[in-house]
Amino acid sequence: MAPRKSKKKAAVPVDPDARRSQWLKGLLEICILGVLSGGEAYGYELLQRLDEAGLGSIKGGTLYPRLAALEASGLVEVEWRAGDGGPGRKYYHLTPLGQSTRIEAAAEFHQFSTVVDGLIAGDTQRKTSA
Amino acid sequence: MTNEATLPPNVEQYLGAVREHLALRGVPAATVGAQIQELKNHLVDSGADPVAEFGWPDTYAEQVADAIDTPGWVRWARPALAYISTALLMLGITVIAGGPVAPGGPLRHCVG
Repeated sequence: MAPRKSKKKAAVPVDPDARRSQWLKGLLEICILGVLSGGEAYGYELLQRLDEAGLGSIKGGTLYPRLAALEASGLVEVEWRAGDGGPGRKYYHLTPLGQSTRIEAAAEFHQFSTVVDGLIAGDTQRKTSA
Repeated sequence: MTNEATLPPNVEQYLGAVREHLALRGVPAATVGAQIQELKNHLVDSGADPVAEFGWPDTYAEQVADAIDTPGWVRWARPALAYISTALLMLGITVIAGGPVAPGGPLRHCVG
């Protein structure tokens, strides 16, 4: 087993991977809802779809606790299905609440990301009173 | 396809540790079983090292307990109850083995 890594917290990480990781903490669940709106999936399959969509490689240790949270909050439901001679797989699919939450979040995030894009790009100008 | 017979010993050991840590944190038995099966499938599919993929068992279990919102008191009460029951068991064994029972009772010395 590899030694434990020390956890350092930084306001804006200098390392691009650490920045991505920071953003993912807030966005992964919404991305999962988005993937599941295209069809049900089991955990490993979900990771592959997120990777193929361009989100990059995500560890199982990041994914499964978020799936457990989504399940506990009623946004996704699970169904166990037997495999070909192997043990069952746990498939996730959106509930009606998950679907409506995804639609709401998509609209809100579009607005939010537009604002953040502008701020990061330095496009804002100080409003001065005439 | 998932084949549990191919699981290497370190994976079995890892899953056993996750199972133990989830149970200690008061995660319901059905959820523990589902988690273990899901992790097992994932490790077989990916061929990944368990610690590299999921982190240390206690850390992973804590994240799952947080995610499903296991009450905090359950998380500390379970290990405490386990400790107390072990202590009581040891006391019981001591009594059965003929240890001191009644403080202040007559002392008997057996000289062979």
